[in-house]
Amino acid sequence: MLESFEIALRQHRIKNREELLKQFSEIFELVETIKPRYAILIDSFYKIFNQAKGHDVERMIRNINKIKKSYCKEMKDLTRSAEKIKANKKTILIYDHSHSVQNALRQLQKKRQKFSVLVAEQDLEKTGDNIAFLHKSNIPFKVVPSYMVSHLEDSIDMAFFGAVTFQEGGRFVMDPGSKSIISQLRLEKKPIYLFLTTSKFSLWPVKDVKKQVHVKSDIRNHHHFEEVAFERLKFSHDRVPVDLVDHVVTEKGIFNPEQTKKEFASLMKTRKEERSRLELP
Amino acid sequence: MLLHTLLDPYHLPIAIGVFTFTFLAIIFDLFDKAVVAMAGAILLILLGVLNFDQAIEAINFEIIALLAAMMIIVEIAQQSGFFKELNFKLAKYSKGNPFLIFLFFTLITAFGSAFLDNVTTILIVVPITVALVRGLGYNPFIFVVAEIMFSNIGGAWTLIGDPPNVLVGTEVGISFNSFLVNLSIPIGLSLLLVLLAFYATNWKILRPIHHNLPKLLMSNVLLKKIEYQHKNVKLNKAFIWKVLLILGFTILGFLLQFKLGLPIAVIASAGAFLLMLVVHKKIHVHQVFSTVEWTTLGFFGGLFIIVEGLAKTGILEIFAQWLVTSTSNFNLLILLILWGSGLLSTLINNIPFVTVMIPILFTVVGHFSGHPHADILWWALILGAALGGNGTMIGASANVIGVDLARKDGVKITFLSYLKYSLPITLITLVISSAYLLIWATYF
Repeated sequence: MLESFEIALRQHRIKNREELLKQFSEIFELVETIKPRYAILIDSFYKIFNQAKGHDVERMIRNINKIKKSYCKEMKDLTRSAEKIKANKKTILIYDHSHSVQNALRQLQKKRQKFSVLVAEQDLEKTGDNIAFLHKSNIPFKVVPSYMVSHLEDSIDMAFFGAVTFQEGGRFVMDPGSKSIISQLRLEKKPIYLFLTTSKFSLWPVKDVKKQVHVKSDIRNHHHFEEVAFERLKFSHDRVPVDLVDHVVTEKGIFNPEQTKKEFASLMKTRKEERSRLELP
Repeated sequence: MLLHTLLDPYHLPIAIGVFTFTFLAIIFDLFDKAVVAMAGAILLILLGVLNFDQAIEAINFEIIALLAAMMIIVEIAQQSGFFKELNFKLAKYSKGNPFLIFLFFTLITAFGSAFLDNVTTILIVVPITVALVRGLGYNPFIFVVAEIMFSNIGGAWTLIGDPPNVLVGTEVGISFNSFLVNLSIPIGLSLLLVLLAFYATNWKILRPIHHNLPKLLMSNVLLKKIEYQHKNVKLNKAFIWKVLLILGFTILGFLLQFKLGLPIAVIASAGAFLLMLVVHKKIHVHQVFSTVEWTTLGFFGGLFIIVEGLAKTGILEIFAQWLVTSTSNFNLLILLILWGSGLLSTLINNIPFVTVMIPILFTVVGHFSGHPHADILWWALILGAALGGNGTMIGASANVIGVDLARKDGVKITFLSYLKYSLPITLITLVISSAYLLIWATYF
């Protein structure tokens, strides 16, 4: 998004300052409406705008590059935190498609830890991407349908997950299906690692939790080609309590659930103070 | 044999009855069109209108072989990832600008349809256009409608662009080059004017977005997404180059057809089988053959037999004589054939129509054999049938497929909303063709 904004700023030909400010406001509205709301994104846009006072486009572009660099550094630091995980000769289950998890696996491999990966299948595209990554990285792997993970519980030593964000109330927003696998592994006392940079925390109060349900009318042939019509429900995300996770790997180190909650509260307080000082369009 | 002797006096009504039923069943989509055509053909043999040998002789295997070969080449080209790569490049170079997206995709559709099957072209371009345009926050309606129309106009340009062209080209013996030489002006002009008409009537949607920062942002976000998805697709460049090389050689073969002294189907088949040999490690031959549209080929085979049945009864000869005697004015006859085939093709499938018209037009052209421009009547039929196909949502297969694809992606195209654009555009293109053919007949 930031890279796209940088390109858009280079491409635009708006001379009128007022028109430019009006269009910035439209972009802020757009960024605010993206669900789930990403603090990393919203805050970046406010920072870019405020530091450049909304009209110095060159300065805005410089700020974008600065922010991009800082996020890259965060990701590197998170990967470095992951080095502490002892994964040698272990089997790691992965489920969702997360760059943080992929970077962590690559880092562990770099540090000469020899492990294998079990990919629990979700949708074709994401599973396919995980397979492509593991194949390219020369990491040994097997694939299992996610509803059959219970058959391999004994062979799983730990599980790695990514998340979209972490919300007030101590819940991670994750890919659908994550909660059942995490609960299942939790029951078997398998260590669960979750990888997320703190800039992705949603640092504002959760007003109401709206479930995004996709209802689709479906017709299928069942029993001697008789057509059966029904509603097929699909959910966009799972919300998983932090207490179900053992370790949260961030750029600041590896936290347990309590430390994660504390870190969230502290960041939320700081952000609130900073935002009150910002001039919003 | 006894049955055949008994039915001998009734061959005329039987042939007309089978033909009428087949035509109506195709128009109203009562059965699969290939099944109807082949069933009609079998019925004519069973009732003794044609014997088996006559029926087999009626089938123009040059057309069947040409279509099958081109389907194989297109399928392998699709498997190579070339079309995906091309679509990605177009999206990238457009920079998300609707003005350029419209220009690139309509022109590539027209050009692609000239050398590939119209339906294949639509199947390739429509899904990515819908994804791209919708991602930018626009309604893809106008883009899809334009692509369908450019596909039909572009398809009219070459011998292999549209099945009616293949029919006329191979039956009459018109070369690939003749199509290019004689149709470049009306098709080029039609493309230009239709393009301008679309820009003029949809300027609000199609104008450049340099002055709209939110739209620029969304375009770039979408392009980044497409770029990311594309990065994960491993392209085999050697495979693509082999496909392009052999496709290029095949088209070169079409252009040099008369110098080579080979039927066009032989050139296409040579291209198809050479391609399969060269890339045999990259393809599954069974799968490639399974993608050949055997139903379309069966439909053609059945139609040839049904039309032969009609011809044998002499009714086509009678109709041709009526057409010739209806006017002594050659220019009027050109317009009659152009507009008649154009208007009929807006509603009925132009393949059976052209199949019936070929034997009729042979008689008419024969009657005007002394006229220096008698051949223009063939061009009137070709242009009318191809451009008339744009007229309504059901006028050509590409229209039906394009509308269906768009509908699957949530773009609503109704018969009337399509007609709002298709009717004036069909009229524009038929007027351009009329002017071109009349100038050709009168001044050259």
